[in-house]
Amino acid sequence: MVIKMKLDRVFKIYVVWLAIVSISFLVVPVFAQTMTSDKIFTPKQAENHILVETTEKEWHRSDINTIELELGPNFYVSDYGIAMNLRYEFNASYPRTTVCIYKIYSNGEYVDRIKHTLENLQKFKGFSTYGAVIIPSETLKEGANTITVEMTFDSIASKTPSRVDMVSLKVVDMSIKEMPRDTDGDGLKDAFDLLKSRNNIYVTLILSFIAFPPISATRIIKKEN
Amino acid sequence: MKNRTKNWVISQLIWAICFGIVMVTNSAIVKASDEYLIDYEDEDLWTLRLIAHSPEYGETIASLYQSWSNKFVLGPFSTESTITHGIELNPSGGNCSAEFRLCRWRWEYWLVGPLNGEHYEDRWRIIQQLDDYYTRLITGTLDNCMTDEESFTYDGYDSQEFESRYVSSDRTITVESTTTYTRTIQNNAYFTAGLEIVVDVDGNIGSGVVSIKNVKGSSVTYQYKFYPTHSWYVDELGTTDHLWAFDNRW
Repeated sequence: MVIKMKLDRVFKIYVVWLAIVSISFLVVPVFAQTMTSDKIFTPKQAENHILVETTEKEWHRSDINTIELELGPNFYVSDYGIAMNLRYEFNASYPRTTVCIYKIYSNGEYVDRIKHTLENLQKFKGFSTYGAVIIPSETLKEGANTITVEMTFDSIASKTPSRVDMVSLKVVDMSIKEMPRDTDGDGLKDAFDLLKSRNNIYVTLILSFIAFPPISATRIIKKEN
Repeated sequence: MKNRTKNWVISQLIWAICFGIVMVTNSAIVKASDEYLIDYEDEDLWTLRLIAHSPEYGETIASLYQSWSNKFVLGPFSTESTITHGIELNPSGGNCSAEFRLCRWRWEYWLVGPLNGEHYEDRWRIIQQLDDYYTRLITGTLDNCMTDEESFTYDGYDSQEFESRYVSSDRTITVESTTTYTRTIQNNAYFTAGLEIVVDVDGNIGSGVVSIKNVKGSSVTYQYKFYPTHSWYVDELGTTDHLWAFDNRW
């Protein structure tokens, strides 16, 4: 009779234990994560448009754009990814090769560059997305931050143009998106993860298993005997 | 007694569930731990994002504006890699153009077994997508796509081989007035499945297919515009009818 009562209690405690473990390590973090959206920052200038109408065989142009990031005290749990797209159009008398280079600086510190070569285009339109370049949170600080994109465009035709060549290069949809880290790869971002370097699913399983009633019950029965 | 039986049944059920979860997890771990990396090589290759042929006396708009994903399936063990992008290419007058991204490919040689049946596997996969992009006008004759180049070297890097030449006619198109054919692809569906590619990582050659998936939303994929009064043979490349190559008849 005593054993039965103790077993009943063990099962009740186990159910409570399961609830606490799963709520703490899975339910609350997942809920908090789904309720929070990643921040997106946009530049001062909506687009950078380089329009060149010239009879020159070679030309060089440059431009600049900046994005301000106001970051809170918990920014260090995220990296930031800068993305941009290029819409381009060529109407040239001879094939023209154009090299676009975008150098990215975070608070004045060089981070990375994107290079796009448009080769031998004469009458052509196109659009390209660039994959997001990571701005490490180490280069950022709490408060105001400035991300600068320096753009250079170098173009050369295969022959001196026989008329006015037109080249339009438009950098559009530039943005910086917060890219929260997930160190342990369990799908829970570090900002919401109680165990940043441990897989919460495995931890929940292990904690559920070690408190499993037959283990406790065996001990109780042994003790009573 | 009744309560005891109930408790026993509940405990057995919980046990069975836990056992199942542990077994599933364990089988994944066993599979992973039953593989031994013997050798690997890395090489940066221009990797195909999108290709478009245009007919002579016509033009093509290949627009993948939203999120699209290229899936490369390579080798006998079908290792997969994906890159995501949005692109538009608008070649005309018989030109063909393609866009590439420099990607770091890795070839790996694995010993698998004995738990999963002992054998060796060659695997190819993208380990890093670099920030170099390249839009190229593919060389070849304008009146047909039979001799369009299928690989190149640029800026010191080789490209994948991409087999997208005109081989044989699937249909004939003759127009008396400007005519446009539009091919769209629905959300989460693939096209150009079966377009063959070859990846050569430092002499370790893997062949396979690339297919392009619409990841977000539905949009126009390929638009082929034909000007009057001409006629073309059309080869529908791959296993879907989206990517066309041309041979101008007159």
